[in-house]
Amino acid sequence: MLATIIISLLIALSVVFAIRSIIKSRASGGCDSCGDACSKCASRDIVGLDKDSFI
Amino acid sequence: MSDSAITIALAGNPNSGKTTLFNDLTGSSQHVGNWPGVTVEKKEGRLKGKKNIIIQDLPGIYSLAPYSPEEIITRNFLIKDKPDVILNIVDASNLERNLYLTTQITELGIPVVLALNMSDIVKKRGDIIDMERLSKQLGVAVVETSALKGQGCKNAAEKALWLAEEHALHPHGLDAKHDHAHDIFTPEWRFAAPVEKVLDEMAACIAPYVKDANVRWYAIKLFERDADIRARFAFTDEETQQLDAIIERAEAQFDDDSESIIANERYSFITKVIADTVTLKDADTLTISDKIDRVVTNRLLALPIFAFVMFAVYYIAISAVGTAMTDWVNDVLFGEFVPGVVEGFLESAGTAEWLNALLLDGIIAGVGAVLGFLPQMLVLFLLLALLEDCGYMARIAFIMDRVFKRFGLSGKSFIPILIGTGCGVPGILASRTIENESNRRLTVMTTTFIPCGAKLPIIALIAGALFPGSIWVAPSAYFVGIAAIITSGIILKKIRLFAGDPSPFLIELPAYHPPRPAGVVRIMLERGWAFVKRAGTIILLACMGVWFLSSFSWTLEMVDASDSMLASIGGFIAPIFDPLGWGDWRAATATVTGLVAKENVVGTFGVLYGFAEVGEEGAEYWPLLVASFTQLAAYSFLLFNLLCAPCFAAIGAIHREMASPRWTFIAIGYQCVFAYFVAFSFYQVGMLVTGNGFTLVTAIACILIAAFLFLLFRPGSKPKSKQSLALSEAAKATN
Repeated sequence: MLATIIISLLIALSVVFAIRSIIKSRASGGCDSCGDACSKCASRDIVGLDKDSFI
Repeated sequence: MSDSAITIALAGNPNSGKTTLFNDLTGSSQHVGNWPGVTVEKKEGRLKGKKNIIIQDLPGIYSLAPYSPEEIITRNFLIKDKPDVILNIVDASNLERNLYLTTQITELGIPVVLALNMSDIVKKRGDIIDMERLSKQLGVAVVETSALKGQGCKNAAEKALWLAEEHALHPHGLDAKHDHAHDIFTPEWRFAAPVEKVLDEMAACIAPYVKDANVRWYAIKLFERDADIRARFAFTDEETQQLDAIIERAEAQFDDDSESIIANERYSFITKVIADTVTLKDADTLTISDKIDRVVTNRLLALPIFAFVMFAVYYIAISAVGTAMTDWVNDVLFGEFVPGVVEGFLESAGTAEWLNALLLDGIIAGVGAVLGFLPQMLVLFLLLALLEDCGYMARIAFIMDRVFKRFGLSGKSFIPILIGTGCGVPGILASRTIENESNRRLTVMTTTFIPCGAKLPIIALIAGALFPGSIWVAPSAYFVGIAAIITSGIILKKIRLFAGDPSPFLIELPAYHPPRPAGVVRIMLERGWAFVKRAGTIILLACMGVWFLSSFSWTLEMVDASDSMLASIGGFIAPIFDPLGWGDWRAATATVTGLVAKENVVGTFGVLYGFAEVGEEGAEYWPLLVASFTQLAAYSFLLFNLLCAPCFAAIGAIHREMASPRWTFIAIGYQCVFAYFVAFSFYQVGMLVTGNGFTLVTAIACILIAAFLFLLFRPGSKPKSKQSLALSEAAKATN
């Protein structure tokens, strides 16, 4: 029972992090398909995302 | 000055190495594309170790005329934001063409440092550029750089800093006795005397309105009838008449339009500068790049070579090298090791049955199925990066310009497609470089037909599981995408909504060079890491959702997948795909989940079919999937998923670029209808050919194919003018 609760909590935590990561990348306003990696892929150059995040 | 911020603007022609220099100076890792148009908007960074020095990377442009978004962005920045110094990066191996922009930049009243980039290539050829004489003739500081090798970049930045500081101290120039007098912005070159006389008259008219340092630039722009610049002045009617009279008189005197008069003067000056400062070792000898291009861009051989190269790329990545590695990941890692370890741990911990199922049948089966294709993706990204870095990708755009021009598009529409092979979103955004609105919309609508990285697992799954040992299935996905773009272009350009001339396409073909291992590996790893991150975020969530819906009934009881919520939802939409040969609820569900992210198609299959199963003869991979699809239905499934609406992120990008719900609906609707038509026709004709008889559905398919051919070959409206077609002649570098 304890193991079930602990693993369930870990999964819930990973879900929260996954949702947070998706929201964060979408909030950056550019390529939201690649998650955080969009800061380095071609889209970054083209979109010209917020400057402060890569200075 | 040293405590306040100094802005260094990087300006130059496309593909002259600005972004490479920007990365070197700032320590950034912006994507460096070996084709023009990588930088469409300006980027800002800080000089390494000096936080108060701002480096501004501007889009590559050929002139300061306001004809394209890149030119407008660059021009507005230089005029309005007034950087402290401009670092003008020129391709020293193509100096003559690059100096056209330089002559315009030096008129802005801002100190300029000219960076002769790719000077290593010049030296390798044995050519000599007299830097001191060049500096004196242009009135700017000149330095040598090789941004690719990181040589001279620091020196260029230091020179620019020194110049900015000196200019701040001596805004009207240095004393002539100063050692570096000519380094300060004092352009010594002038147009021919009669033209200068006209410009002086213009300058006298506008002098009350602008600062002394900018009078010359505004005089030239007004003389060129630059509407954007003219709109910035509140001239009286009398002044306007006076200016127009000066221009008209000059045009009559020189028997040419004012813009051409200035352009001719610039070219005359550049010709003189080149004659005075550049010594070619052997002007008539073809370079290695020229020799390669004679074959690679040959009118007859170019397309077959392109087809062969792309076939080889997809074959190596998906069917040859990539498969061997993917087999290991699937067989050993996600087939035995991970499930075995997790299952053993869960059993010993005594966890609940539903949790075991979620972890093993949901997360590991779904995410593992997607991650299993990572090796193939890495190999594909590596090969595409190699092609880009060595300079071949730019040739592909040049080659495809010939094809696209035939139906009213240009090679400019192929650049987004090249970028779209990584991810459709930046591909769609790259369409911003296309000035013609109808062509831009058409490009946005068709860019996602090319298989992006996320579609690769679908291609690899169908090729590997349903067509084992086949060499054509994986490469065919790329050519299906190209064919879809070309046929859509031909059909849609005949519709009034998309009619119009092709956008002018100028491309500078970079010299071939050996790919830089570090850069190529970096691009591969970045794209691969992006894929892993997606697997750990959006794919993970989607697989958990699919597992939940496929494991529980509407009354929230754990049931077999066939009695689950997902089965009833999928069963509702599955009949739509029945004529395509895969009216199974699981395939229909996978297609719908693919809208979240295309990898989800494979993730959903992993959850619903289970990708590894131990049979009597050992482990079998995708046995249920193989049993559910015929080869014909599987290829039809692949065709539909390659061509239908892209993922939500790309749909969002389409919406942003179209800036209209109506146009977004047209784009997505067209993609879905086109995908359905292609998959339907393929399956029905395939059924007929394989001896399954002629049915009513076959007849419908034949009628649709006839209608498609009619739309393809019917005569369309002619382009409005031949003049713009002539403009699209690609300019090839004389390397």
